[in-house]
Amino acid sequence: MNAPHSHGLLDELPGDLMIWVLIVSELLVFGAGLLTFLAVRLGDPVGFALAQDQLHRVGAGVNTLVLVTSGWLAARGAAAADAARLAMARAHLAAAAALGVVFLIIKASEFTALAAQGIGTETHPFFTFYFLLTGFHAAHVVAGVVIFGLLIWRPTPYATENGAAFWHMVDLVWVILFPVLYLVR
Amino acid sequence: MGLTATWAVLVGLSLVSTGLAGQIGAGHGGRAVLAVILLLAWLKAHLILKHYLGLARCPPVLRGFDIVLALTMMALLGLALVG
Repeated sequence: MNAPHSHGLLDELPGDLMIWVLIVSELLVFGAGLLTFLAVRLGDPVGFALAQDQLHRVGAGVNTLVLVTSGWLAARGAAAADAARLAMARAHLAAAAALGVVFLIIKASEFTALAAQGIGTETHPFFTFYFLLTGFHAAHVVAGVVIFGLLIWRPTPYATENGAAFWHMVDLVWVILFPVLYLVR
Repeated sequence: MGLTATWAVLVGLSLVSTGLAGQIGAGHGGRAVLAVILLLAWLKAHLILKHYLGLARCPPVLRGFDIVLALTMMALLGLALVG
């Protein structure tokens, strides 16, 4: 008789295995981007510091508060969906999505302010990395808000757990991205 | 730690980071501040993985993430301090 097929640790992971493949992949991509950013900075630390001074650090700090709060709401939404409390799940997911939109508005205002100063991706290598990394992250926030919309429509426990995990990955990337891009000097 | 307690700690750590961001903006960024900022980032990542992503239920995987993230943070700190 054959024993049931088991993957050991992988079976204990919360959510679908593919969401963890995605989380690890995203962390590797952003981690490589940040390491490259700091390696390029070695060639022009003064120029990078001057470029960084054009960013709105406190606004980005506020965005960190917005995302961690949104993550809390998403986690509570997933727990509510798991407990078959669908109205509560939808309310939490809608609030999480709304904070995702707030994050995007703050980010867009930062991009707009930089553009108004004539700053773009080719102004300085700092801004090439800044726009690439934060823009790619913002694209993930947009995707997360769309996923929340689908989850509000149909908040099954499986879908909500994995949708919330995607959002936590977005949150996780930001808490690493923020200090390196905005604070390291 | 429950979800709400985790959120409260994350907010506290984020407020400290934002405060340090203000200090750096005022020209008070030193090496120790840099190390604290990256340590706070690692702590926030640890809390998100453990409580939001549910890896508290899977300690070996959480340890793996913690170690890889700590090594990454040390590499980032090293590059930041050299520059």
